[in-house]
Amino acid sequence: MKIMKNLRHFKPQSLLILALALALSACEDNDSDTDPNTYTIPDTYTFSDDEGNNTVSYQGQIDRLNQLSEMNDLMDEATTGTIDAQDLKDMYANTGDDGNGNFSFTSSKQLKNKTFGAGVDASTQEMFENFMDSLAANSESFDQTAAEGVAGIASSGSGNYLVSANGIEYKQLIEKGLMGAVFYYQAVSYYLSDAKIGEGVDNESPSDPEAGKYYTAMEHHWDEAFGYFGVPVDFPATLTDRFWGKYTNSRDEAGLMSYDKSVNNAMMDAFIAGRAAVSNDDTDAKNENIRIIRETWELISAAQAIDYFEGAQANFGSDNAKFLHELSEAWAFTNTLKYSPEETRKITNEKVDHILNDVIGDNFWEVTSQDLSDAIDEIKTVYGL
Amino acid sequence: MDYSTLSISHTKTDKEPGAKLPGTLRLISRFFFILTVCLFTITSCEDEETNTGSNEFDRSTMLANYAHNIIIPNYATLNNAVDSLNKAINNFTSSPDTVKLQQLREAWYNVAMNWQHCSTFEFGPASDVLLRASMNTFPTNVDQINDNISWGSYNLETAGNIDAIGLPALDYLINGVGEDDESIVSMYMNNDQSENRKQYLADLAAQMQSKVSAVYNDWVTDGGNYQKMFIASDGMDIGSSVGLLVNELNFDFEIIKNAKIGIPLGEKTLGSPLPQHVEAFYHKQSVDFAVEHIKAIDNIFNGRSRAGIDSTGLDDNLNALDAKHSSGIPLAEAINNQFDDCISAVESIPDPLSEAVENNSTVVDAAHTELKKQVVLLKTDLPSTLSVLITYQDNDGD
Repeated sequence: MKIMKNLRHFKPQSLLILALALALSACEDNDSDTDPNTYTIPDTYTFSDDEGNNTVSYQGQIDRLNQLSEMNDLMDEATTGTIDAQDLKDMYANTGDDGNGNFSFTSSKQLKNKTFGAGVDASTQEMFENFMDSLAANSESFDQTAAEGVAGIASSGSGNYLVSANGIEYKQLIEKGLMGAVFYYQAVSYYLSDAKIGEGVDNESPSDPEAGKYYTAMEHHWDEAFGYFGVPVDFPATLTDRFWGKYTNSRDEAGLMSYDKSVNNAMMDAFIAGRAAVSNDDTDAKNENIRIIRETWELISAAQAIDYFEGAQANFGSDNAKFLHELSEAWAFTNTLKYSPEETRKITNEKVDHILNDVIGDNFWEVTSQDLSDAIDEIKTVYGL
Repeated sequence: MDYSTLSISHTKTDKEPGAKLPGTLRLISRFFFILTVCLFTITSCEDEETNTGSNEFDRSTMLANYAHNIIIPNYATLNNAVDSLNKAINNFTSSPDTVKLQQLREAWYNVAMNWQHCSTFEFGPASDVLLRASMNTFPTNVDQINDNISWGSYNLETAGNIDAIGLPALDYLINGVGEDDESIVSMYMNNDQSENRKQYLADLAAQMQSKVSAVYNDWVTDGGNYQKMFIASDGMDIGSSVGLLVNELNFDFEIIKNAKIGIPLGEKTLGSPLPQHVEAFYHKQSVDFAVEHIKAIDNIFNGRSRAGIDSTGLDDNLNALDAKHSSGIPLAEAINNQFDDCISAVESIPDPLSEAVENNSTVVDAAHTELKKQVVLLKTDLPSTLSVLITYQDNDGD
């Protein structure tokens, strides 16, 4: 196995092995690998190789989800005391592998270097770091009541939201924003892209069996996309209370459909069937399920944005706290649409920027009910909702 | 024997028609596919000997041509150009005016054009001094440059300064610090940081000179004589000269595809262009440099000197192995055809590229597509034929 392990680093050799393996398998049992009817699609997201070794792995994604959860915990503290922006930035960049002591666990993974544009264009990373500065600055006003032009706490019943002088709840822009610029972007636009899941990606040799990595590169990339979706392997039988699993279920309960299925099943079935297709070299089924995942996920974010805009509208003039909170949520779910892949995206960046900058603007206290209707109408028109 | 072509033809035969054709036709297509693969397998077994026993093609002759007629002369020219740049900077900083600024720009342009012909050779002496990154890391970091200037104290060798040095930093300093020539010159005369800025200009050029002359001297016989080792290392293993050359030729070509064209076009940002990421953003002739760079790699592939003398190169090595492209024509011819297509596609982009990526993206995208096609030939077909391993990895994470 040592030879296999070494060879996987070297493309020409891999190609030789691949070619010979293909030639041999083609002569022996050409039909078994490519006929979609001869492989089983499991009920849950569990896959193993011919020897029964588990081939599913996405610890890096689990780590990042947990990192964002712990960032949320810290951001929640800003409603009852001041917080330091540097702590959030250290968590975002995972300084010292434990967010400079702010995480309860260590990991080599980080959110910052997976944010849209990382390594090429730092503007999105800077946007989030600016949000963190704003949140920390607002936390200085944790003992004040928010009003137009005054940062502080906006309360509704038991809900307390820290908002800026312009009524923006930065916690939502950061949490939901990173759900978009990291989780969604990495899954649909990176791991499900041709570069990571297309024909040029190794789907023959196990990555490193000695280290327990029985998956091929292509299988692993698919798993990593699934990891960012962040649901239990038997979703929706088992649900989750955070991130995309939570909001997918929320839209599912509201009756959102995609490809003739409720969105929980549309997403989960496509992730499972697509993974089975990858493991069985069924390129057509793989590509079809990529399309379903991409289109459904974008639809979920759009529908969630609409739902929050509608919530903001329902609370307009009667419950300022909820109005500002839901508008902040809506902002982030709308912004997420920018990270959709070019191949399937329904909305242009210009449209998203228009909604966020022209229709909504940067002072949420000045948003009118008509503005909310306009935002809702524009998104509904694009998505046929 | 070209293994990558084999796998590509498999994929096409198997998956595309196979999925669409019903019943009998599908069986027939599968039959031919099996036949093809088996034939390839058999030929691949036969070809092993010709492939390993490439005695008929003398790699050391090819390597000698690369060293004597391409690499060393190209470094020599670059070295002279960098000398002239230093002189132009001294001339400018001693008493800045617009005429001297223009002379300085011409000297910079000359270095930048010559650099395109040396960028590929990032192994041995060049890699020892990180020449490629030091010469041409872009986009340059204007904030970092200005911080360095205002501090007046810096170490240009640190990783943190890699995007504040080299040709892109000079580009900013001689083209980007003012709206017009007069205001640029005034930044070197009537500004509270004029002296520091002049010093920074001189320090950048001195650093460049020290690196380029070190690399050049390492190659020549009366210096480090790296050429001797380069020519003697004529095997096929990872550290062999052909291995290094093919790897760096690919890495360099991917710089054109990604850094020079793809990233500004929005390849890594879901189609949103990044105009400031072009090479030579302030100078605005990014397309000229990209075309020169492709021509340089075209020359290298063909073992052709800049004077146009065509001698033994990688193309001859491919022909000696009778390498064929999947279309049936010789692989070397396919690669040369694709160089032509790349050059004409990139040439048709109107400069400045920073505007074209926004206003004329179809043309830029077409050029990018041609470059991508060439990467397949250079990165898959070429190395597998020569039994060379591509050892650099695309940046990946999980």
